[in-house]
Amino acid sequence: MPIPRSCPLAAMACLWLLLASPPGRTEDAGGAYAPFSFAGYGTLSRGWDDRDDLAAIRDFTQRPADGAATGPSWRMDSRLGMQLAYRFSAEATGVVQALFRDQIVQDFDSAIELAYLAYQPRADYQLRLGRVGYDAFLMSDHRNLGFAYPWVRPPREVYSWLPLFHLDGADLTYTAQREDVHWRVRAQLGRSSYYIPMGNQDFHFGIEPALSLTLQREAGPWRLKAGLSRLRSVKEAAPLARLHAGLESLAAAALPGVSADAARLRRETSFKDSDIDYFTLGAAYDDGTWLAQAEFLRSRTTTAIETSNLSGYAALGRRAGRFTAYAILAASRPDRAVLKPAGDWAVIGQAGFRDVAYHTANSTRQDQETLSLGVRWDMDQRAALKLQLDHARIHPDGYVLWFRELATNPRASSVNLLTLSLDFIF
Amino acid sequence: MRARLSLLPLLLALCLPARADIAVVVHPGSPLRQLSAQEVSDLYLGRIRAIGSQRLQILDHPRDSGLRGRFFSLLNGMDLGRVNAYWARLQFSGDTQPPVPVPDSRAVIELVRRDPLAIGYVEAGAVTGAVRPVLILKE
Repeated sequence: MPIPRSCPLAAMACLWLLLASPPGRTEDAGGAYAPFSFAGYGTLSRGWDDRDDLAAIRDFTQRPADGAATGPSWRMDSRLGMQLAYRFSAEATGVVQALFRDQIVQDFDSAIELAYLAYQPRADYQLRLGRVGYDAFLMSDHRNLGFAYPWVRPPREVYSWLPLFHLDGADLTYTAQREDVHWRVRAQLGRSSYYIPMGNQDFHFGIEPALSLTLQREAGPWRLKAGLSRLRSVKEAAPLARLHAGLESLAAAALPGVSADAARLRRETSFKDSDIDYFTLGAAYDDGTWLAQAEFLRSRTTTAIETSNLSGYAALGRRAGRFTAYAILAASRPDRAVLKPAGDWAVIGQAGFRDVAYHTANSTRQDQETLSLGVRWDMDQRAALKLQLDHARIHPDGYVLWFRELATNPRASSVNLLTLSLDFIF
Repeated sequence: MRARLSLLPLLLALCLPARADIAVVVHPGSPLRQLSAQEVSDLYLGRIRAIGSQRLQILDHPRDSGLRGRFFSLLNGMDLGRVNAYWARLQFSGDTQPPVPVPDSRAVIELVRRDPLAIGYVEAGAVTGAVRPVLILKE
C-alpha cells in the first residue's frame, strides 16, 4: 500500500493555502482569538550508572558517546520541544512541533516531531493529515514529554524498542460519550523511518505501511486503552550487507549441515519485508492522591532480529503535597528461544563467521526486569524535579536495551542507574 | 424588628453569589440554560467540545492565573500543576489543542458577549447583563 512520500510540511503548506480562507464562522468574535500559539517543553537530565561495560539508551535511535564505557551523561534523557499552532477556524488547526533530543542522525526531518493539519467538521470527528504522533500505547504519543508523567522516562522494557515516534500519513478519530464514559476510537495509516545504530554504522530503518487502531475509555479517574498495530519493515540493513552476502553464498554452496543453517540465518537476520505486530492493553488511574498505571505488550515479528517480546509494567504512586513517591516494576521476556547453531561450520573453517552471524541474529533479544523507585517534586505549576533509581537485572542474550561489550552477552548481570531530571513546560 | 434587620445581610449573602464564587458564563442568546459541574469539567479537560449539538468555543485564563487555579479546584479538585500536566499531554501529543487563553475576566465577558458559541468563567462579582451564568461554583 504506497503512501505518498512528499514531505509532510509540503502537504501542510498546500492545505494551509486551501484553509487560509475557510468558510469560517461569522460568529468567531470578529477574529478576536489570537490565531497563533507557541508553547514548549523540555527536560534537563543527568544519569549515573555503576557499570563500565554497559550503557543505557532511552530509545533505539541513540548511541552513547563512548559506547558501553559511557559514564554519567546529560544526553540520554535531555531534550527540548517547541510547538507552534495556528488556528484557521473553529474547525481547522495546523500544528508544527520541533524536538531536539539525542539521536544518531540530527537533521531537519528527524527534528520535526509533528506537522499536521487537523480538521474537525463535527465535535465528535477529527481528521489529521501530515506527521502525527504514533498513538498505540498509553504513552507512545507523548513519551518525550516528561512533565506529563511522574517518572523520569516511560519504562524501557515496553517503550525503548518501540520503532515509531510519529508517522507521515493520516488518522481519523471518533469520540462518543455515554453517561460519564468517554470513548475514543482512532485509526492511523502512514509510513515512517529512523536511523538505528548498528555497530559503528547507521541503519536507515523504514516502515511502510504502519497501521494502528486504538480504543480508549475514560471515566472519572480511569483511562483504559487497547491498541493493535501492524508495521511492515521495508528496508534491508546496509550495515549487514557483508554478513548477508556471506550467508547467501554459503546457503547456495550445498554444504551438508552448513547451507541449511546459513539459509536460516539469512532469513532470520533480514529486516526487509518483515512484519511487526503489537497488541497492547493499558490502564491508568489518578484520583489526585493515588496514581497507578499498568500496561501489557505483546510484540510478534516474522524474523528473529526484530525483537519479539512479552513485556509489561505496573506502577504505583502517591502524592503528598507537592511530592509524588512512586515505584515501577517492569519486565520483558523474549518470545523466541536463542538461535543456536545446527551445523558444524568448523569443517569449512567458518566457525568464526558462524559465531558472528548467530550473535547478530540474537543481538536484539530483550530479556530483563527493572525495579524503579523515585520521587517527583512539583517545584511550581510548570516545572518538576525528579530523582529515580533503577535496578535492572539482565538475562543472558537479553541486552538489546544496552550498549555493551560482547563478552557481557552470555551472562546475567545487574546494573543500577540513578537519574536526576528537571522537566518543564513553557 | 432590629433582630430581623440584622439578618438581612446574611440572607443576601446566602442568596447572591459571593465575590469569591466563580461563574461559568455563555452568550445571552445561547440555548444553554444550566450546566453541571461534570459537563463543565469535561469541556475544560478536552473530553468533550459540545453540549448536545451545541459546539462551544472554550475560553480559559492564563496558565498560572490565580482564578484558573481556584476554578479547577472548585470544579473538580485538580490543582494547577496536575491540570498543566494533563493538558501538556493532550497539547504536545497533538491530541487536541487547549482552550483559548484570554487575559482576564473583562476580556472573557467581552468575547462571550460577542460570540454566541463561547463559554468562559469569571469571578461571580464580575458578571454583567451581557452574559448568562450557567453554573456558579461556590467558594
